[in-house]
Parts: sequence; structure tokens; C-alpha cells
Amino acid sequence: MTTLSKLSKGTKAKIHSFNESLEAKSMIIGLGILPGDEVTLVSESFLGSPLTLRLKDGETIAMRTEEASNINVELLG
Amino acid sequence: MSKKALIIGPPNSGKTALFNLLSGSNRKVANYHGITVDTALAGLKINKDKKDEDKVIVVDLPGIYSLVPSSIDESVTISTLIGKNNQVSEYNDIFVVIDASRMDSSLSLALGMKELFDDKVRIIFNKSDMENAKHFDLDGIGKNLGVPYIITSALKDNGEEVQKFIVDNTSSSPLTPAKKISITEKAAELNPFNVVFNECGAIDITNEITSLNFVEKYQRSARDLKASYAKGDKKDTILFSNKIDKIVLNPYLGGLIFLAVFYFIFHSLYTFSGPLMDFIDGGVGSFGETIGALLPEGLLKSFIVDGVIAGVGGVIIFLPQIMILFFLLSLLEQSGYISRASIITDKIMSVFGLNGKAFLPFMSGFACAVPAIMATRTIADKRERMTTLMVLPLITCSARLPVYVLLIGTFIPSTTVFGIFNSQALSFFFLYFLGSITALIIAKLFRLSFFKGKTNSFIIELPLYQKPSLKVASKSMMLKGKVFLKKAGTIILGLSMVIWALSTFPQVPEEKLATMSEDQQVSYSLEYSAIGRMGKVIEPVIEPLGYNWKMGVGIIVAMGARELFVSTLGTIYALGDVDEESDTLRERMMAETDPNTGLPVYNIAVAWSLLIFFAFAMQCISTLAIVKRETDSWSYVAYMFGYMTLLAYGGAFVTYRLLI
Repeated sequence: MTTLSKLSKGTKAKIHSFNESLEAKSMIIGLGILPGDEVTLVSESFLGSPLTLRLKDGETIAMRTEEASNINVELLG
Repeated sequence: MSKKALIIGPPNSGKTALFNLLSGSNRKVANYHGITVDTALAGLKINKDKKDEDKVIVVDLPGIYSLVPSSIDESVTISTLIGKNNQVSEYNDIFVVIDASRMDSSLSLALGMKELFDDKVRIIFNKSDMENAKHFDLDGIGKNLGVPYIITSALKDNGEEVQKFIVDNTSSSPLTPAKKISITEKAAELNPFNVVFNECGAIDITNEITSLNFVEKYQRSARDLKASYAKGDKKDTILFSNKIDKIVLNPYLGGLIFLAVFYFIFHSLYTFSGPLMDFIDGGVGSFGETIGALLPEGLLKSFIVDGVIAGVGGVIIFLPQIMILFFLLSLLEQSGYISRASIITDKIMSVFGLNGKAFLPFMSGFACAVPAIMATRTIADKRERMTTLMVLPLITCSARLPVYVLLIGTFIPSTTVFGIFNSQALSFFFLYFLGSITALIIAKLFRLSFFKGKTNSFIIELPLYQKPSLKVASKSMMLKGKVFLKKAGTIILGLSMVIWALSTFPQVPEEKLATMSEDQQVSYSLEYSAIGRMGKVIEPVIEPLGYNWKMGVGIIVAMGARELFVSTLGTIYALGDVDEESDTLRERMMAETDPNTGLPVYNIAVAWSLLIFFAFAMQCISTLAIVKRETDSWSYVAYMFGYMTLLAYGGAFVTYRLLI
């Protein structure tokens, strides 16, 4: 198990859980990122800039590394 | 009384496009740049021939991701649903917009709303023309939901069917939630209307797990529903957008593209508007001459030509620039690039303790600080929001443009620097840069002192790229142009008249003038007038900055609105114009000499001192008013005015001393 912030470009992962300290959980869930979902990392964080994720149906979402480090994922390769 | 229909949907679902399509010209609030942060009301176009009780008012509200708000603008919408919005205390029906190109977030919201109102909602499927909307059987989903629905596209349709749908489905009895809305304690702190949530009966404040379970539940059922009505091969879904993103979000290329896009905007602002401005300038000049020739010598002629035409004419030449700016911003905003730009700038923003979401307010700030300050509502953290709000007026807004154009165009010689750059264009760029970088530095200082705290989260959804509609951009351009002309025709016209009167009266007694040359007569009359006396009083204060009393008067008047500096100088110099050789303000300013030394009044040092002063000074009553409204406190207004005045005076002083 690792966190979303540690993925490298192009890797797929399955969302496992959210940490207690993750802010804006309602927005993340409202946007459609749920435990069990498969996500792909489109672009890595560059010098701490936000990373970009692709959700299951191809929708794209960006978030800061701070948030991503509070989302636990399982690597899918 | 007419009936009210709320339009509810997630951000970027095209609610506002729909609202604009449906509403006549009677819209009350203008939200700017692709983001709704406040309640907007408007009657339907087809209301015209109807009786009052049959009229339907549509209400546009900020987009929400779920029923648990995560920022103040979302909370405006939730408060409206429970009847606590001052502008809309009662409504008759709710139309939930489903973005057919992004079913996830919008379908779950629709399910949540449906349950909250016991099936008494109506559905509008929007963006049905988009490629990835064709992967769903929208009719099937609509039938499954079992509530009235319509399938449309706000950008393609003419809106007649949707209007009919809204009229047919808006009942005359008021609608209220059938259940309580469950929100977290943190969400309850976002409270724009100061509602006592736990006593109002419509809200349940619960722990995070309970309220988020609701959100998740609707997400899951939305997915099931979506899956059962999917059709066709979904491989090509969103492929195109993702391909563009590969380039645009690339760390290196993305930054270059970002700079290129914004350089292009400034460049167009400067080059495309040139011929148009010259045309208007020449038109105003010859119009003044023609009218002047028709009128008999005397006060009336002076009032019309020197007061009204010179004052208003000095300002309306900036119409082309305002229109080009808003046209290009609208194209950019429609295309979906703005969200990408905020990702690229988020890193820089975070260094200065700000949120990537501050990018949009910053962008709007280049047009006007008022909508920009309103747009800070999307920033969830209070301290980040206040910081952003406090520094926004430093961004170079379009009201500064007339002053910059006048001073740079007149006093900075146009030469080529570093082989390719034009010195005037470079001066512009420098002032824009100066405003932005100062705003960021001051923001950092605020974040280290008054608004200390950790930098907050930033999550943003990237809408699909879309071909921008020229029609929509033209509409936005015309609207902003109209607003600008209206201002020129009302406030600026009125003030030009006042300035003329103040600089004409009291008149010097005839016998005193008899011994003077024509030159002396004119300048003595101005100094003798009410405005001349005012200027003389403040002269000692502004003298260290290199200004004479005429500029002082311009600055005083510009405290109301920056453009007034130009119209005021227009009137003062038109009155002071002796030789009648020079028709435009520029020529008159260049010709002015100091009666004591005989040297020109304006030189590079004075021009830059004025430019720096205008870059930093808080000269906008509307901005102060909106700050009062948004912060609900006079002390923020005082702080803002105070720090900006210090910065302006100090900056101008240093500039003048360095250059003289």
C-alpha cells in the first residue's frame, strides 16, 4: 500500500481509503473519487505543483500533493 | 406574484449558459468569467405577454458538488434550498442540471436532490451535443428517474423548448425540502447568510462519516444507473481532451504555452486597439471642433466643448480595449483552458501562501477588482480568501488602462529595446508585472502576519476542451462595452460637468484680467476657480512626488474611479488651452510649461511617478464598497485603503527621486 502522491506517471492504482486528516473529503467524494475506484496518474507533481489524475471514465482532476498524500492506494502497475 | 424556478447543478455544468439563454435582458446580477458566486435572477424571455402570476423567474445559483458545502459559494446554494437566501426566500420548483458529458458528479447530485425533495424535482440534461454524452441513453435515465425531464444543449439550442418545459413544470405552490440536509460541522461554518443552522429545522449537523455516507450513497447509485444505460463503445471517450492535456499540462511546455497565451492577450490589447482608438480620438476631436464652430463664444460653448466633450471623449476612446479584453477572456474561459492555467500557476501561488483557486480571481482582477473579489468566494479557507481579497486591487484592472495609455503613449518615447521589444509595450508589460508581483508579495506578508495559517487544499476538476463560441464571446464583449459606455454616459458625464463648473467658477473679476496677456488670463482663471484653490491646498503634499496642482486635482477626483483622472485632465486642459492648436489631451499635456521655470511640466520622472502612483493607489469606491460587503467589516476597508495609499505614495516618491 502506498499513497497517491507517490505514484509515477502513467501508473494505475486502486483507491483504498482516505486519511482522517484529508480536507475537502465531501468535494472529493462529490467529484466521484470513491474507495475501490481505479485511477491513472496523468502527470506527476512537478516541484510540488498539483498532480493530475484520470478517473475511471476518463474525467480529469488535479490536486495538490498534500491531498494526494492523504489518499491511500494499492498499486495496479 | 411571479413564480420562481431554481437552477441547481454542479460547477461547469453549463447552468449559467442555460440561464443566459433563457433570460431576457432583465438580468439583475452579472456574474463574471464562467463562475457563479452569487444569486442571479431573471425573468424568462417568454414572460412578456403573460399575466404577473404566470411569469416565471429563473434563479441561477453557484454550482455544488454535493449537499455538503465545501466553500462559501456552495453554501449560498444550500442556504437557498432551505429558504434562507435574502434574495430568494421562496421558490416553486427546482430544475437540476445534469451535465451529460460528465455524468458522475451531476447524476449523483440529481439523485440526492430527488430524494431531498421527495421526487418533486425536474431534470435538464445539458451538453447533449458533446461526443461523450452520446454514450448514454439519456431518455432511459430520464424515464428511470421518473420525474419530468428535457434533453438540450445550451450552446446549440435556441432555448424555446426549455422555456416551455420550465413554464409547464413550475407549479404555483411553494416547494420546501421534505427531509433535513445532513452537513458536517465544518460545512456549517461556511455561512454567508448567518443562519442558525441547528435551530432552523432544515439542517442536521452531524459527524463527517454520516453526512459523507449520504454523498457516497448517491455516487454509488448514480454509477449503477449510469452503467445500466451505457451504450456503444466508450474507447474514444475524452480521448481528444486527454491528448491536448498531455501537451498543455507538461511541466515545461505547459509553462511556455501559458506565457504565450497571456502575452498574446496583452499584445492584442495593445496592437489591435490602436487604429480604433486613433479613429475614436480623431472623431471626438473633430466633433468638438464642429460643435464649437456652431456655438457662439461664451459659457455655453465652453461647457459643451471643454466640459462634456473633452471629459467624456477622453474616456470613451478606451472602449475598444475593454471590448477586446473581454472578448478574448470569454474565448479562453469557454475553451476550458482557465482550469489548466490554474494548475500551472498553483505552484507559484502556493509559494506565496495562496490557493490555486486564487488564480481565477487574479485573472478577473485584470478586468475589474469588483467581480474578482466576489470570485474569492470559491476559496474555502477564510484566511486564504481574505488574503486574496486584500491584494486583488493591486492587479492592473482595466480602469487603470486609460491612465497608462495616456501617460505611456504621451511621455515614453517609442523606441526599440533589446532588438525586438517596443519600449511602450515593455512599459505596459512592466506595470502589469509590477502589479501582479506586488500583489503576491503583499499576500505573502499577510500570510506571515495577519492571516497566518497553513496553505490549504486545492482540488480542481478539468472540464473537457470545447470549441469556444464566437457568438457567446461577442455577447460578453457587447455587454461589457455597454456597461462601460453607460458609465461614461452617466457617472463620467456628470462628473465632467461638475469638474467644468468647479474649474470655471468663481470667475475672476474683469478688471483684474485687463492687464494680463491671454496666456496669463487663462492660467490665472483656473487657479482662481474652486478646483484651482483645492489643488493649491494639496499641492504641498504631492509636490515631493513631482506633481503640480492640476495633477493633484486629477488624483483627488480619481479617488472615485481611476478613469476620472483622464476626463478631469481633459476638462482642465481644454479650459486652459489657449492657442487652440492642439485638439487632443496628449498635445495639450506635452505643451504645458511651468510658468516659473519655463520648462515642460511633464517629464519622464513625473510620468513614471504618476504611473507608479496609479499602479498602487486604492482609487475605486466600488471596490471599497464590495470589500465592505464581502468582509462585513469597515476595518478591512480601512486597512486596504491604508496600505495601498502608503505603497502608492512611497513608490511614487522613490520613483520621482530616482529619475529626476
